Amino acid sequence: MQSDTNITYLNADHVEYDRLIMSASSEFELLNLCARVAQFYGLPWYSITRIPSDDDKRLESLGIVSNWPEKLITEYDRLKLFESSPIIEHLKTSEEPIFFDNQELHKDRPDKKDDDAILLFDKFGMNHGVYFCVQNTKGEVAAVSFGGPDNITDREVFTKLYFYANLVYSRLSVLRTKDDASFFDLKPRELEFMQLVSKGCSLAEISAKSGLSEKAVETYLTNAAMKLGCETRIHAVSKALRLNLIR
Amino acid sequence: MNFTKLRFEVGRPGRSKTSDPAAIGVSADDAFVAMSAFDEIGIWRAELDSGLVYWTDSVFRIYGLEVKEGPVSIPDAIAAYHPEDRDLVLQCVEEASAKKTGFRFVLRLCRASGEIVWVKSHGMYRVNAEGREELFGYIEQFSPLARSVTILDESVFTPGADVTAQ
Repeated sequence: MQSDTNITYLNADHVEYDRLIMSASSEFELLNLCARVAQFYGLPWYSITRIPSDDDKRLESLGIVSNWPEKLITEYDRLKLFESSPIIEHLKTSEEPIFFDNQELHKDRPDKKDDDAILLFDKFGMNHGVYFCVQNTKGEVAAVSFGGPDNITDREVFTKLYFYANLVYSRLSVLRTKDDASFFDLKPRELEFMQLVSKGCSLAEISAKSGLSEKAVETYLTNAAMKLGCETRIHAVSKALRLNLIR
Repeated sequence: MNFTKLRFEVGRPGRSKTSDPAAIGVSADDAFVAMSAFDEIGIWRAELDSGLVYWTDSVFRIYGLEVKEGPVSIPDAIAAYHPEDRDLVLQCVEEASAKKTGFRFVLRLCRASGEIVWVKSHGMYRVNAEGREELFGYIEQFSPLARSVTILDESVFTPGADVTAQ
């Protein structure tokens, strides 16, 4: 194993992804990293989903976040493969990692859709893979999967993927809760004008509504963007909406 | 809107000259008409400096919103998405505007009836002819059907017509 540090269980690529994931500043960036990790280990497909309950009947209802081809997900639900899925059944009842080989996994499905399931996943090169159950500090449990054309035979790769799965979900949970509106200390006027921009109002319209000059309005908006750490107004408006600072 | 200068090979390096529809005798305008003949394809543009967003009529219809002129309400657009997908849409715009890059997403809209509709959107960064930075792209609704054939009742293509009806 390569190592230029005393941490012999980590190699260079591992350290890089480790740091990148922990410093991801947005969900979007994190998901891109997840795709890179998956690709690096020859498993180009990843997914993050909550653990299914008995009420779930479709894959899309799980709020799955993945880089799976959209046709795979829609075709999966169209074929109604969810309800008798061996993976779904496993995730409902066990926290142990589950490796899958499509040919074996879908044999003897209760719904007799063995061929449909095998063909669908083979078609998209998702012949093998692994699902990990992961948990965040709130006790919420999710499943992270990596899939691709080849079987995972290297135990070290398995261990790394397990580590990354936990790290990604942990970071995802942090990113979904860390954005605190009060942190940015935006003034009411700054929020009001950002709100108006988001509704499609131009500087001239905001100026007319507020009785302030366009220059003054622009200053408020520029300050708001700076406080949010954004260089452009569209970025600031999007971020303010995402953080529920404006609605 | 004139699509004649729309470069189909943008972001796809290494493609041949015939990747341009004009090279085989089809203008970009005509190609867009063909692409949007059956399913709505909307074009959108977001100005980075002003924060204002503009849509063609088709985007309004895809979102299930009333068509109107001028800049659109971003909160109304975001509210049309599935609650679990709203943050991802905004993060795509945030990332693309901050890093001056592009994005692609496939996410869900929730109709008032409760129906879930899947949409695909691509966005790209550019500096427009007036030197202003913007994101622009398209959005389309797509069917979950793996195989589907639809025939138009009559030709809807009128050469030279304003296909965007903006």
